[in-house]
Amino acid sequence: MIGEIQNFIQQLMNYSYLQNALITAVLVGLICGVIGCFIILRGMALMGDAISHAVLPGVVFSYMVGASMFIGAFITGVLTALAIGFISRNSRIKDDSAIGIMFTAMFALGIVVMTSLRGTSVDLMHYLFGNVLAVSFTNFIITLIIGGVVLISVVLFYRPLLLSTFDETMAQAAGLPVKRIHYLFMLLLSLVTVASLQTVGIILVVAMLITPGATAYLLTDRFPVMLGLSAAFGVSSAVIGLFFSVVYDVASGASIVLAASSFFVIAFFFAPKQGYFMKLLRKPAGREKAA
Amino acid sequence: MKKTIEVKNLSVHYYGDIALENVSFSMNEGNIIGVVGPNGAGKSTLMKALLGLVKFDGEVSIFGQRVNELRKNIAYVPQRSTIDWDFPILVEDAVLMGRYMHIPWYKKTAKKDREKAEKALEQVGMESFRKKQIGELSGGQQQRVFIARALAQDADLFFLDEPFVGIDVNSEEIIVNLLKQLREQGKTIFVIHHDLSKVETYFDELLMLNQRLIGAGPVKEIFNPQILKQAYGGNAAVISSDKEMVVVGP
Repeated sequence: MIGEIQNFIQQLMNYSYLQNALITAVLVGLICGVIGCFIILRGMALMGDAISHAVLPGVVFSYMVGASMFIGAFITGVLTALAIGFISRNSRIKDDSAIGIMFTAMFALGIVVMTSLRGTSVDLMHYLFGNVLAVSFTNFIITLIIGGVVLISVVLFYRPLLLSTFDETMAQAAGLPVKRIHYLFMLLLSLVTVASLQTVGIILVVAMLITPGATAYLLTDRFPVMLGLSAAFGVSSAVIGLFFSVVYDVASGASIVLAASSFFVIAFFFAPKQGYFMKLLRKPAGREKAA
Repeated sequence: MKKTIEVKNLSVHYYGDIALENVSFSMNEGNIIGVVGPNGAGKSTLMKALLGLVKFDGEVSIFGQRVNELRKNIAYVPQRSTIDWDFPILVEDAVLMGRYMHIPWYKKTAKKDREKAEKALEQVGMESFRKKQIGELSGGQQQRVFIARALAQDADLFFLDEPFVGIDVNSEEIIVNLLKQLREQGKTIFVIHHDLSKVETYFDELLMLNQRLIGAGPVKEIFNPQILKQAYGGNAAVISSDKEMVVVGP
């Protein structure tokens, strides 16, 4: 193992594309971890999955006209979010069904258009399954900018985001623009998704959005700590995943996700307070909760 | 005495169904006001309309102004069942949220804010629980923490949605005493209340609702068999003599 690590570091120092890949992956792990905490507590995991799938047609159309895939992906992501809201407000269809209808439709549209193009599917496959090693320099820079925007927004709007997540009615009664906060959050979610496309791929983005945050959720009772831990799990998963991807020549996105899942499994069983085994041990001791 | 709340011809409709119709009343400052009525009477809807959280027809003025101009001055305590008690937040941080509307978005929470939160926790007798996660508390303790959050806000008007549901006797006593102290300081407190048994000891004024306003005014005038029968129909049995009245209700 030590040999492999040395080998990885060696390659990292020699190849600038690998350095870019590492920085991109770390940044994606960081912003996914941060936004993911809000997603979990707002009960929006399905929405995260929806937005990530819904960007596919945008990516494909951008590819066809030769524009930056970020623009197309962002536009279709936001359109889908708006359409979901429109359907659930204007019919008896509930939110989760509206999400299911919209994102599968968008994803299917992307697949149909993609399969109609001959000879280009390899590049587009990178967006579906992620290949952080194929990130171009322009996309690297755009990812840096998106990361900066997302982190600064979360810092600036930390309190309104937290209060509207915890107690929406009180936030509203206190005069916070709850609806606008929701849209701001959807915008950040779309940005994060778009930034993560090339690293983990459309299909697996939701894992990076949920798994590090869920792992952190099992380990702490304080939201700021949850944010920090979640970001740390996101970043470590990115580094570990990239390492396995380079050394054993396997898909980068999937190995990053597997690293994140491994952290979750460990926390699920061994977390000091919320862990499965600790709960088993505590059970006979009584029900201290029911005071 | 100054008028705290004036409501004229307030009506609320949800998708064509009437939730409240033509409600008018006014309440003076420095009172504990109970809002009672059967299920579906529009108690929560009335509170939401007063807070400007639902669309309504009619006029609502609070301290002679519209609600949007004095939101910082209004504290709201939600029903316990609407809160996610697994949320990763400690008691002291939940109380600190009562200060959020006073802190400009570009500033950090100041020492003054944390002191106010701390003092509010002491007022509800929960200071020794400050490092607990909110889900580790009993129902009554949770309610006291949310009252502390409202206290930390330094508001003049309080809205409490069913604060006495599912809580222990000790917590209930602490909360009732606190509300009475607030009243002495000239604050106005609006309480949605379910249980008819303690209406006379808890409230100064009463609003009896059943989609329409059945009665509004001092408890002594409103809490009588005729009005109760109007509000509850056959669902509340009222046994009364000159000195005593026993209400068996929902």
